[in-house]
Amino acid sequence: MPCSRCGKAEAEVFFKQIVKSRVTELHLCGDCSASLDLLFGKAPSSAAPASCSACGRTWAEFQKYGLLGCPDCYDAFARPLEGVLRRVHGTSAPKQA
Amino acid sequence: MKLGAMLRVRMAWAAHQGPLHEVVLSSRVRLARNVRGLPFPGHASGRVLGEVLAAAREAAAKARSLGKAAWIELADVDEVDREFLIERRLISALLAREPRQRAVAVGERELLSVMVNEEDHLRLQAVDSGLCLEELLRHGLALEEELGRTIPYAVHPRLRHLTACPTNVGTGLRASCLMHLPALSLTGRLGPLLDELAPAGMTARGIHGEGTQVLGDLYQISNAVTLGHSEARIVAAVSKRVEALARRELDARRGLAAPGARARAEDLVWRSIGLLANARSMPYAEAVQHLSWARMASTLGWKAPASLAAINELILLTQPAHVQMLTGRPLDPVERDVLRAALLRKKFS
Repeated sequence: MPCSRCGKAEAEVFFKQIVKSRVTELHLCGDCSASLDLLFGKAPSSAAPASCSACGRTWAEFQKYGLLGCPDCYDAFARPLEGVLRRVHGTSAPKQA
Repeated sequence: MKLGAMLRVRMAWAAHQGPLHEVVLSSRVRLARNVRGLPFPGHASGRVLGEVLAAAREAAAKARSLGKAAWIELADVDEVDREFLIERRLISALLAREPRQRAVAVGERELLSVMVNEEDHLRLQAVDSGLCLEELLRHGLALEEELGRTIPYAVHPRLRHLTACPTNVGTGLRASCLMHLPALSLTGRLGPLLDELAPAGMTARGIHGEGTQVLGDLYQISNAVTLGHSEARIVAAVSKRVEALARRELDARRGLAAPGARARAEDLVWRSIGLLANARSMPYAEAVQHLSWARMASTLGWKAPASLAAINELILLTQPAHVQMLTGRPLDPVERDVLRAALLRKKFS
């Protein structure tokens, strides 16, 4: 599948973005996904450690692949993830109902 | 090609029963779970993947709800077998892409299954025909509880179930229904109804999920949001929306059968039946479109040559890997199209 931004290279990264409950799906090549700040936003350097101490996954890798490395990443990247969860689910914490 | 015996299994989801089965072919509940303390599959070493595989195999063998489950390691079967499992919706394309240290446990009637080492360590699935998400959630949670006796899950005190992708965190639940919506599509009313899904936290996809093409007016409707609501509330919301859509579709079908509109619908249906009964070669996408019209006619009580049960079965059996399984050998696309057409003629003439 070609990249939905440049239309040239093969898509490697699949983004699903939900903003105000509207779903957008994008298929991007490596370069476009790295250069665009589409889904996850740039984490301020003070907000995120360079990497998860349990598995070594970096925030930059998460931004590139959209996948965390291990359960501990949720604590390691808690602050920048808050924004991601709010964008994807409309909340950053469960409320039971 | 080792999995040919599975063709004899009467798959729960391909049956023509259950609430609103004329429109809702099947319901599916998927729960994503990970093992506490281990890296997620995409970031794990071969040794860790092997550990998860062994633990899952042991847990699946003990799980009573899986019954006499088949354990299939994807590295032990060939590409046609893996494609066959995708077509039966037992594994994802992602799991098939990297078969080493990947497996699926398949319960009786293929009602319950567990994918191992996909994006998450465990992807539990419950599928059945008709609109039955509440019941499937009970089955899925019962299986989750059984596997959890030996596998400690990665659970966060605030977020609950942790998943490799944050789009699944919280409940790890995807509740979806495979819907047949030809009349809404034909009358141009489907687009606006699908547009209403996103604001409600839901999404519509093709038959095999994310990124797949919509064939034969078959849509998978599912929740997009997994955090912030309980499992029961998510399932209730999807069920309510699917039921409303199904009722609109049935109304639209009745509208197509009314005097004035009927000639156009009949023409579409009988042209399709003519091709299904006579074509000598037919690609799958075309076959599903014709089967879609024949299916609609059958639910309206029009005298189609094949029954609803036979049409549901053909939607499954005419897929590329299934045609190869039925003939017992790998086929090139041209041969597959010829054999598919022969299969369809047999049922429609």
